[in-house]
Formats: sequence, structure tokens, C-alpha cells
Amino acid sequence: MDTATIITFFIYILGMLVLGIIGYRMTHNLSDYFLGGRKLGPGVAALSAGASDMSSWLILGLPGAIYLAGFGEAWIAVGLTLGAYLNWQFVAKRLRVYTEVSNNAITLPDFLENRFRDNSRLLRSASAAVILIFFTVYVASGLVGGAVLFSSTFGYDYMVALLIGGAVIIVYTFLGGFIAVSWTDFIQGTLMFLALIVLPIVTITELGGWNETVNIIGDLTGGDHLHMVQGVGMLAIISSLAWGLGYFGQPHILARFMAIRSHKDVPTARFIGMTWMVFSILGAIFVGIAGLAYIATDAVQSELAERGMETVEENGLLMLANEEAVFIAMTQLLTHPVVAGILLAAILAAIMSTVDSQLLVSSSAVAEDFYKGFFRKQASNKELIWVARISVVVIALIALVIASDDTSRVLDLVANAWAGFGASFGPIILLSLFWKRLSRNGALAGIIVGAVTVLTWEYIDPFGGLYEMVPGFLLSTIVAIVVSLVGSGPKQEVQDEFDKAREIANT
Amino acid sequence: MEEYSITFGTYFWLFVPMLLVVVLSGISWVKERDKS
Repeated sequence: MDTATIITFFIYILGMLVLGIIGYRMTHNLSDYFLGGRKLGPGVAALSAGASDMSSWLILGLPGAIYLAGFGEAWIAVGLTLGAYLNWQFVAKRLRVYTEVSNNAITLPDFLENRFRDNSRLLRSASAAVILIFFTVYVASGLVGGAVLFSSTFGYDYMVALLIGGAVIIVYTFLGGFIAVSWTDFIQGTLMFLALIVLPIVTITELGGWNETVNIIGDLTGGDHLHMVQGVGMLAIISSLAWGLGYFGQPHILARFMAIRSHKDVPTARFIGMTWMVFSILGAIFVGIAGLAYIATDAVQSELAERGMETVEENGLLMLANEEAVFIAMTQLLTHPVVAGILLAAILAAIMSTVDSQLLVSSSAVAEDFYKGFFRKQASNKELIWVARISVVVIALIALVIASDDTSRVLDLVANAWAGFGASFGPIILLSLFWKRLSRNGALAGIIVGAVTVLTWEYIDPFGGLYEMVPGFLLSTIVAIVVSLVGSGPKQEVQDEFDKAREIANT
Repeated sequence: MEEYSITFGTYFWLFVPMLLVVVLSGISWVKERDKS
């Protein structure tokens, strides 16, 4: 690894830590810590929603999947883009307004409890438990991403890489909280965008243009990797598109909607957010496809060996041992050492942005929902911030244990956590915002059925490979509606509040 | 080297849904801005 790359890389990380410390000094209360006091402008809200959402999946997972199997994997990207758009279009504004009207709720469990006037704490506990389970898996995926980065860049052993990456992320989240996180997410979002646009262009130019790149891939794979429709099964397409359903229930993304300055900023944020996402995703797809052609060339293979990157032979084709390192490998092979340092920092930045926001939402579940809810009803704000910070460390340690298996892949871990949230919260958030008749019991049943379906689907799947999101989302929706219709309707004050939120959101 | 090409279907499904959401969100952003 070049010295210039290392210096650039570490300057970047140091900068992020400084921002974390500034964030720490600006944190006065819990709402500041979690939502930045609902003061985010549209640009920051959009890019931080994007960066906290995508990250290691976008830079490692998606290019890795395309590198391994070709354009057929791009259906996930299509499903996600459509889902993100619908989420911005229908959920963002209404949720921003409703959470404020509903006794200024600052977390998802808070909102559900206030929305249904639930005094039993059942709804709060169920949703906080879902948050804890699936975010721990999610955080593990980010830590795997960090480990892939440190091991392929610096040649560290997987476990050493995992511990270094984990330590950097935890220290940063521990200090900062949401103000630092949203601002640094904005920086990461910009860097990721630039990296994903520049790298495939450089690679395709290096290979002699787009037609030449296509011919090389065709020769290497017999043309299989070039098709998105032909040879791709319907079940695979449905499963991939179903990723889009997940958006409606991701607490870390919904938290960005809740933190936006005004609901009137949503259209601007949506436009910025969708433009960022579409170009980044297309960039990631082309990183994977161009990487396949580039890495298979003989000259590159020997350079990879010199840099100590592991390769394997699959069907007569030499490929990276860990397909998810394709972006990292190309960054080092193709760019100036200083640029490589910045781009590699962008990857770590992306991973940090997701893991820290997920750690924050999980820690808020522990502090607000379990600690304050059950043990210390009179806990002060200062005490809660400290409980949240300690929870960050504990959750991260559990995630480290999950990530310590070096055959883990970012994509697999993300798929499970994404489905968990999408199926348990997605239908309930949509129904809460748009269906007045939804009852507390309906919401509770929907959350539990969604989570249980995702956790057990792997063992009962009669279709052999249908993504757990599909049955989870459907069953949760059906159960929530049926249970609500069977019981008595919501109280008048709940209905009045629903109408008030709808009225404000429509102005 | 044999000549390969990417089918219309692949280009269509890759680009059309993605560009569509950018255009739609752009239109509603312009509309909102004009309204205020």
C-alpha cells in the first residue's frame, strides 16, 4: 500500500473523529442526540437518509453481486429505487408531521405508542425488541464491510481488521450522536457519489470503451452476465424487487424523515435524495460489471498477487476470492494513490455512516423504551444519554461476535435485517399513516407476525428461495387489518389526531 | 474476439425505472417550489 494512500486515508478518519467531538459538545438533550433537534435542511436530510441506508451494501454488496452473477442481480437495485421513491413520496411528509403532532415522538416505538395511546407498553416493547434484534444483525453487516476493507487494503488478518474497523466506528458514534452523524453522513454521501461515478468511467475507458468491455465480459462468461431478463427466473425477479418493500419500515431511514426541518422541505429532499441514489446505484452496478472484465485480464492478475489479494478460479475464470472486495481492488489498481486514499476513506465513511446511525437507533430503543419505560421512569436526560452511549458499546460487541465468522457476506446479513424491519414495521407504518381504523392490537399483531415470519421463513419456505420479505410483509399486513377490523374502533382523540396530521401534511 | 451486445430489455429495465423516479421527483419539486 502506498504511503500517500495511507496518509490520506488516516487524515480523513481523523477529520470524522473531530466532527464527532464537535457533535458531542453540541449535544444538549435527548432530542438533539437522536434527531439533531429536527433542524436538518433538505440536502443534509436527503443525503444522510441515502448514506445511512446504502453504504456497505452499495459499495461492497451490490458491486460484488453484479461482479459474481452479472446484470441479473440488478433487479434488487430496481426494486430498491422504486421503494425509496414511494417512501419519500408517501411516508416522509406524513411521518414528519404525525410524529410531531403525536406528542413530539422522537423514535419509532415512541410514535407507535403515542399514535395508539397505548398505556400497556406492549407496543413499545415489541417494536424495541424488533429494533434490537435486527439492528444487531445489520450492524454486524457493517462490521463485516469494515473488515473486508481493512483486510484487503492493509493485508490484515480478518479478525484484526474487524477489531480495528469496529473500534473506529464505536468511538465515533459514542462521542457524537445525531448532529455529528447527520453532517458526516452528508460528507460520506457526497464522497460515495463521486467514487461510484468516477471509478466505472475510468475502468471502461481503460478497457477501450463500452463495446470492448461488453465483448470481454461476453467472452469470459459466454454472454450469461450480460442479461437482465433472459435466463433469470421469475421467483428471483420477484424476490429482488421485493427489497423495495423494505423501505417503509427501516427505523434509521425513517428517523431522517422525522428530523427534517419542515415537511415543506420534503419535495426538495426527495429530488436530491433520488438523484443521488439513482446515479450511485447505476455507478455501483457498472463498477461490478466493469470490474469483472478488468480483473480477469492477465496483467491485473499478477498485480493483484503482488498486492496480496486472494483470487480463486471459478469455471475457468480467475476471480477475487471475496467478490465484495471488487470496488476496493479496482480503486487500488486504477487510481492515483492519493485518490485511492480518498476513495477507500469513502468506503469506510459509508460503512461508518450506516453503522453509527443503526447503533444510535438501537441505543435509543434501550434508553427510551426499556430503561426509561420499565426501570427508571424519572430518569434525567443526562442519565438517558449515558445509558444510550453504553448501549452503543454493548450492541456493537454482540455484532462483533456475529461478524467474526470470516465467511460472512455483507449482502446476506443485510438481506435478513432489511426483511426483518420491512416486514414488521413497513405495513404498520403505512397503515398508521393512512388508515384511521388501525388499532393498537392490529399494529401489535402485525409487528410480531412480520418479525416471526422473517425469522422462520428460511425453514418453511415451500417455494425454495423466495425472499422472506414477501411472505413477511403480506402476512403482517393481512393480520394487522383483520385484527383491527375484529376489535372495536380507535378512540375519538386518536381519530382527531389522525385528521389533524393529515390536514397539516396536506398544506 | 466474438461480438457481444446487451439486449434492449436489459437497458430498458435498468434505466427506465431509475430515470423515471428522478424525473417524477424533479417535476414535483418544481411544482412545490412554484406553489410557495
